[in-house]
Amino acid sequence: MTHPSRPPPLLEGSELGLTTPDGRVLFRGLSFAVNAGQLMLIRGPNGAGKSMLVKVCLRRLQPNVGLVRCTVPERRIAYVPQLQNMEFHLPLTLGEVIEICVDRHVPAKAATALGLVGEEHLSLTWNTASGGERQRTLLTCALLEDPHLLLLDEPLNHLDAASQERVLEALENFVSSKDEDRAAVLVSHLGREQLERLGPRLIQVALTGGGEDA
Amino acid sequence: MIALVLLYKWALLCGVLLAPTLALVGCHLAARDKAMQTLCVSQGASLGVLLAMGVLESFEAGPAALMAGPFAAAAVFAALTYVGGERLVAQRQASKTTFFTSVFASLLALGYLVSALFPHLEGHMSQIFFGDVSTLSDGEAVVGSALGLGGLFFLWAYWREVSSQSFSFAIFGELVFLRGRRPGPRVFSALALLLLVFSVQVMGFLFTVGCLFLPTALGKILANHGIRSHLVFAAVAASVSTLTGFLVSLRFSRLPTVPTIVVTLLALGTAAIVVRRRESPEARRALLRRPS
Repeated sequence: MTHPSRPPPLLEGSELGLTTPDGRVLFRGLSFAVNAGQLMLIRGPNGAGKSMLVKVCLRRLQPNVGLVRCTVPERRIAYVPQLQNMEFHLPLTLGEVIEICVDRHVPAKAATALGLVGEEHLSLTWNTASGGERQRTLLTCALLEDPHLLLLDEPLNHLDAASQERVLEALENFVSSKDEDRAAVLVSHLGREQLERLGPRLIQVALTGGGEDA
Repeated sequence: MIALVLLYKWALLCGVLLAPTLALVGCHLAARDKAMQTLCVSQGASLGVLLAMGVLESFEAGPAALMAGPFAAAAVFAALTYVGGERLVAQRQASKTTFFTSVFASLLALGYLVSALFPHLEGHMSQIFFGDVSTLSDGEAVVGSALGLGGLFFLWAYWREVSSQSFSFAIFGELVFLRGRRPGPRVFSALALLLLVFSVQVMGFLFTVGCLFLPTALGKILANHGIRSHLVFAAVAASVSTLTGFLVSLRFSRLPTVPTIVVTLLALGTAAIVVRRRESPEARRALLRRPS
């Protein structure tokens, strides 16, 4: 008798370990599997290695031990890193941010259809837009690429409750898509209770920065 | 006057095409916070040109060697300054500004030392720093025009890609959203380096740095809503100023070409800022009168 085989996870890490060049253990023995329809929340204090783990998942950083497997083709992975600088020294509008990030002209209707930015936001310049408007624009850029795996590094930083809600709603819609196999990885300081609505779709990795991870 | 313009037609064309290309490259370098580093790389290229000219002229090299040798030396010195700067900044031993100001001062001192070692370089020293568009040979002007035109085409055709790279480097400190697309960031870096080396050798340090950064600095005040309008403004301002400045220096023969071009750019920009400030209260009133 044969069992229908379960599809492999979109992203899987087994027995991962990473140490900083000065010998500090960020995590060790870390294993996870992100299946289609799931969102993996990576939590932990500052310096615990959350962004490093995302880079390990993207294979931009080689772990000291362990293995990362990803079944999503590279062109179907979208990654929005943490903002390093808030100012950009060219007068880019949010509409132009979307246009240059996806490398084609995007009609206002298509940009606003995702519900993250309104038409009135598209003419704002990057430097005068609020933190929430910027993050929602970047998320729009990532979603317009039609990714199957979305990795977001602290997209909720400095966002008010309303903006956080809109980003989380977009994430929930993304992983709940019935047409395609989709999953997301979110680095955030949010508590599990704030993502309760995701129910069994939510999995969590809590890093402590000392190598003792859950 | 027309006879003079016809005499310098190739030099004029070279300046008018090279200036907007430099201005567009400068917009992206400034956006990537690389203005100080570019100043150092330009100074590195100047040092290479001086050193090669000093050595080659000592050996009474022919005109072909005197054209190719300094270009090759400038390219090597510029590339070394760029790579060395990138590596040292990555170690984060000091702030970028402190580090590159020190490098610039050191390269300036080295350049002066080289010119002292080869006394016949005195004339070249001022040519390399302040430049003179009118002394361009027809061959140099044709190569410069072709380079300018090619650069303009690339920056026009791939404006989204290059702007995306600038945005990504500035905001995230790394490249994102760019997988599988062409051209990669190295094409822009190579174009910038090629333009910079050629322009320093042929048009001089002042023309190069002036055209790189003055248009984008003025554009931040005059064309500050939308990257498209900013890029168009920078390119047009650099081109028009080069044309106007060169014609003015031909009309008044005591005026050197390159400083006149740079001052014209500054003067046109300042005039535009003054006109805009005078108009702005009226524009504001018009906006208030507009029905919502």
